[in-house]
Amino acid sequence: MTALRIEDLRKRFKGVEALRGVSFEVADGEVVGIVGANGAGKTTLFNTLSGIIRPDTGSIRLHGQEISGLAPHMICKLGIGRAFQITRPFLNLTCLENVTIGALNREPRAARARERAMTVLAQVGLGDKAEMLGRDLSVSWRKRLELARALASGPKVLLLDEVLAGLNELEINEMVRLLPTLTNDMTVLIIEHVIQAVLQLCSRAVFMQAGAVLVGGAPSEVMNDPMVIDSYLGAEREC
Amino acid sequence: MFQVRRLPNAGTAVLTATLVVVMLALPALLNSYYLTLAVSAGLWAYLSLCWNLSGGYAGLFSFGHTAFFAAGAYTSTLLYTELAVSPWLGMFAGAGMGALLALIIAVLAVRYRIRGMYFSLATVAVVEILRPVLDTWSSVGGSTGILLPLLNSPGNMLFTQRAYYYYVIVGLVAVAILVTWMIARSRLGYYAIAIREDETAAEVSGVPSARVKRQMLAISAALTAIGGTFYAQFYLFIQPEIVLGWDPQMQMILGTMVGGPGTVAGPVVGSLAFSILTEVLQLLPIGWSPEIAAIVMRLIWGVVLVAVMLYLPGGLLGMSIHARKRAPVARA
Amino acid sequence: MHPLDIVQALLYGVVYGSIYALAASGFALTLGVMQIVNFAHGHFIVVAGFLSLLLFRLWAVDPFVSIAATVPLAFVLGAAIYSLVLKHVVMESHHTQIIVTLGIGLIIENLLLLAFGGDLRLASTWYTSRTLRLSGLALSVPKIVAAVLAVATVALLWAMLRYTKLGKAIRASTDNWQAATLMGIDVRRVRLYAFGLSAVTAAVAGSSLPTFYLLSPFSGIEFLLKAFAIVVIGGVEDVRGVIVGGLLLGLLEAAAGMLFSAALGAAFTFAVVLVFLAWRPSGLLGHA
Repeated sequence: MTALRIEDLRKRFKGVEALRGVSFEVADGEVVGIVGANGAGKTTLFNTLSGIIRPDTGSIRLHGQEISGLAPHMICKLGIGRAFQITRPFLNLTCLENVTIGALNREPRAARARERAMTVLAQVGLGDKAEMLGRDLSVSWRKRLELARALASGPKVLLLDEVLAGLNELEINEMVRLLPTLTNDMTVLIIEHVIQAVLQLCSRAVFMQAGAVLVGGAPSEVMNDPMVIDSYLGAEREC
Repeated sequence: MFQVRRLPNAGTAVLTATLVVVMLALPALLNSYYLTLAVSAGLWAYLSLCWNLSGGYAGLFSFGHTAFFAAGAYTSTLLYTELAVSPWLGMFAGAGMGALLALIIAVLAVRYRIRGMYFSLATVAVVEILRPVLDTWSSVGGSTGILLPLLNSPGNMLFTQRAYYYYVIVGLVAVAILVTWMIARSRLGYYAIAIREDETAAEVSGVPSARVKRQMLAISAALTAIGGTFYAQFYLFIQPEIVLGWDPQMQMILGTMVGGPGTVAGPVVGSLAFSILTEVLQLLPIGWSPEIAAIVMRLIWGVVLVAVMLYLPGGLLGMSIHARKRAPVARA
Repeated sequence: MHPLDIVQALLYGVVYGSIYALAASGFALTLGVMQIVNFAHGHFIVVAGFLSLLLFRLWAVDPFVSIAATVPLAFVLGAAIYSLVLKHVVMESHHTQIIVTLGIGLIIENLLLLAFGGDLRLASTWYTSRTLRLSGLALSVPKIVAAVLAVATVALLWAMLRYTKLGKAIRASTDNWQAATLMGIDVRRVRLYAFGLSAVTAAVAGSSLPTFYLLSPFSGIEFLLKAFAIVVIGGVEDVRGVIVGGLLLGLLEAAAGMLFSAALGAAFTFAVVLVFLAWRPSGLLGHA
């Protein structure tokens, strides 16, 4: 079953073509890594997928249903969850309240949603921080909160944007170990610069540059493609 | 700046019950002057609670709530003076008018992406347009306003005994508190504060921000409008200058911001503090005239406002609950 | 309608527009440089007006001359208010800033009330009731002087922003304060000076007022709303935005005064502001 079918997605911002005909498919349960240098259009892609930006042309089909141009909350209802690159927790709310808001997407009764939120918080390891305010969390905990909130919304497709950025080696290993336990049979798209994680977590990878998908295939294949290596030349590589 | 909501517990219930008893007994203990003060204080507490729904919870910092206030006051008053409709019914019509106005504003604000301080400015513009329009519209009283008759007609919300007004406003305050409390613990409440904190993050988490804004603003407006009806019935005189003035709007905001925006009791605490302190200042043996006392009070309130925003961002109520957890904006 | 009436209205619009532009320039400066919404800006103008009035009453100092005194005072006061209060809210939400500056406005307004009482005041000199008449057009002398002064001050501000070291630092901080810091600019000091400057423009605007405007401690909000309207119409990125916004506002009011009654004219102006908020909130000269 195809979870996500993206066809010829194009987006232009005032003369800059951020997306130039992006097309690919993601099957149910796949974990796809999206790699590429900064400015390649990866986050813009996520923004169109979650409905924050409307593409100029092209189609996005979630389990057969066209979702491009829908409002973000509708897309969330239909099953796409999003964790941002620079985390956006609700600063003045507690972790529990943060995640409850996500949980309310599936469970309209507040009390039940809170319970569900508590469960998810425990799963990501924030159980003891339920009453802490978003603004008092460190970066790595904020990443977890972001993840928890997205998970609580009951997504079928999860979009993770550089969920490892800003973490030290220990925290990265923690997260890489934790993620598969949380996402189970969910379809996941991961934007990541930490190559080790892409190799460990993903069943497939695509490489983007200047708004287009240039290479796709098994993660090790993609990471060894000369074009990909070229674009990362000079950047640190973790094997 | 906004404090986290907390669900009530047993201690709060006992405190509330005691307060309720005291409040119900008040008219027997106060003389006419203080009873009038109590009614006025109650009205401002009520209006602050109404504003809190939109500004404190949903982050819709409206400077135009007086428009809803006026909608209520004028609708019910005109229905009464022209068509002899009892204000008890007229106030619902007023609430409807307020809600309608709010929906128009909310829909346009969403449609044209008018947010933050631009939204605040837009609400000011609405009032600044409404006031001259009402001023020049003679069929609704124009700048001279409308007088209500001084008689005893309980069926028309007119009482010669102040105590009855007192009970009505206490009832309204109770309703406003109840509505706030119910919203705060419901999905609408959670969604509202999510929008206030970060609208985009809220939307990708499933929050239908346009709908929530419409609902919160409409509810806030409808309740504010009912306050307008009460005002007309108590003071027996409405006029665009007064009803759409800057002063009432400030009072709605100040009480809430100092007491604790986004809390259930905050607006009441802040607003009552203001009312009580104003009175206390006049009683001080300094020989201030009531006008001077009022000016000094507003001066103090300005200082309090600045201090609270810098050092107690959650307001007075925020302080008591999250003193440890919330760092002040300014390091003293 | 007599064509001369239209010219008269145009003139009125330009004269008032220039004064409005000056009044708004300080507000735009703080908004652009520090993203601080200063709801007390109108009150700064009023304070300067009262100071000028005081000097006039006590020592018969001409209001325009009093600028020599009110300007340095304004700079000091502005810098003080910034250091004590505003620098803490630079990074906070606009809501917080609005409430804080509203508080400052309240303090100023009520201090003025205590000091001067609530009546409306005017300063009357030998020229304040004089009118210049030229081929059928009439314009009051003090307003002309105020307008010329306003234009000169805004031009000076523009030049200062463009050509002086501080001006360039201010513009750099407006565009991208992080980059400015990396380039060695002391952004905090820049903000301090910018706020002082904003107060200075308010002082010049305010000091001129008593010659033709009935000043009251309550006038603060009114001036703030005009400044806000100008920023919405003209944009905040550039001093030219303030000029465009100011002139447009002046002309709008003149047109409204011709077409409608005085009261409805104000409503018309705000209706235009609403249209701008919907259509182009960053202003005619702002980036969309």
